[in-house]
Amino acid sequence: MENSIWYLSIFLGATLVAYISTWLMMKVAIRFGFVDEAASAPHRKQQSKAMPLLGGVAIFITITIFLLWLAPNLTQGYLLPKHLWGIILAAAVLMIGGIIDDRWSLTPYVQILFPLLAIAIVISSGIGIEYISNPFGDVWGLDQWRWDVFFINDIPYQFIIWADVFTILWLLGTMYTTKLLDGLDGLVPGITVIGGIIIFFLSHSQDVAQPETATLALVVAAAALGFLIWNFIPAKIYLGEGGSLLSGFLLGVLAILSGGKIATALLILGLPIIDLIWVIIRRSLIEKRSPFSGDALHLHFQLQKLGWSKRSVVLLFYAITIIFGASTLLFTGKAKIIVLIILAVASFIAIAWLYTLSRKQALADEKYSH
Amino acid sequence: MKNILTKVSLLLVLFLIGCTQSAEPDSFSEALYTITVGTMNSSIDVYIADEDSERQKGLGGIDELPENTGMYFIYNSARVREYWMLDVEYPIDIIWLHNNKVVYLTKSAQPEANITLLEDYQRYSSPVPINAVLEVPEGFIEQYDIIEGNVLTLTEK
Repeated sequence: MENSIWYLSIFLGATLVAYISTWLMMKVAIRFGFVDEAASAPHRKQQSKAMPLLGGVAIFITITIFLLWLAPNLTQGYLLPKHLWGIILAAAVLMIGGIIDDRWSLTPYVQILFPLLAIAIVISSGIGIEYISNPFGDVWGLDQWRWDVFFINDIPYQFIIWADVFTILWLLGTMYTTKLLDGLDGLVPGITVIGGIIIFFLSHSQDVAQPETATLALVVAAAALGFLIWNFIPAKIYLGEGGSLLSGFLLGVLAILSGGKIATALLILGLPIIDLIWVIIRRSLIEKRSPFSGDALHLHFQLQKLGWSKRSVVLLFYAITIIFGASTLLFTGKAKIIVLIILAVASFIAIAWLYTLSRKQALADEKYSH
Repeated sequence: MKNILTKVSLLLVLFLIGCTQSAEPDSFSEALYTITVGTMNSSIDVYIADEDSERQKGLGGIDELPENTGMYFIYNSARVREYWMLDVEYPIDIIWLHNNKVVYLTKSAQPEANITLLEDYQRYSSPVPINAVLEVPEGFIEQYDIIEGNVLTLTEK
């Protein structure tokens, strides 16, 4: 059943649905006032219209439609209906939180409740990380210490402590990485497309393929692509809070479902993750302020400050994501870890270097302003 | 500062305790059941894995799988399940069963050396739901002419 034609049709179909849904959400957002006042569309010289938000809803709609429509195919094997429901419900929670946040700005402490609820839903639907590789070439079983939380029909629903803790941290990590990365047209959706496609190919690289997770990954990639067409520079709609969280959520869940591909996902999101760590270090340790404070410290801002065009920055991020993501298709095991380390070190050096450059710039600006 | 240090150390200790593997694997002197499949004349000793911890550990850590022994995994529900060769250092055949009938065969699953990341382990699976799995030494399927449709019988020793 799953062959190239089938996959291609799904991909094109989902892209089309997302494209149309995004167009619809643009109209809805403007009509009901879900706009980003601060960001107008600078290419429109005639009018300065505020930028519509709610782009994430289009992705959510596309995913929901295709997951429900393809459910019979998707539940032939490893995935169960409850997994699909968990994903859809969790995504809905993220979108609701995002819509509220887009309109009525929530504080970070209230904001985080929605991702936490979404994660709880997904964990109780049975999705989670059960083992992690440890550096000694062995395995840490995260499935010790189970608590029976409740029973339905004599089947225990368990809270498996360490597995769940790791899953929570993992999904929070991927969600906040994409949320904080969402500051430049096309950046987050583009990375989602690339990540989805890479996981699609990875789900086929083993002898017993996982066609269900492959299909899921493809739908995610296509939904992001349909939206990206409207969101690439110059953007005509933004993801919104919900959409940026949803992207990281979907990538994180895909990584779990496709055979625990944590290292792979770390390579795909490597640059944004290092950037995030660096920003947190810089804000809390070097400049001694709250890590939540808004500023223009992220890599994509810094590059723009140095004169890079928005387009170049986005394409650079795409290129790096493709290169490191593709390496997961070519390498396994130790080689993959080496690539991961190289990426981490190189990113760190590059970002630190940019930091000193921008400090010099700031000092130079001070001098000239006297 | 000292407060944070204590909290972090406490968390680390809890983490290490929580992550330790369970007890040493048992040897086959404790096999209490025998199994015949299809047209076999003789039976083989099997070690039963019918609890989560046993099923997850599988043959991992057991140094050798003598001829005519195996491990029989029993589940409460029928679904598609994935198996991997984590800590299994010899090739095996995998017989996938649903309601005591063979529904799929995997010949010669090879041990995987030099795998550093869990995600790189090959996952073996059946195309249809199963509620039992029999792991046996490589060559077993050929030797006893096991085919799909064969019936499995489990007897106490």
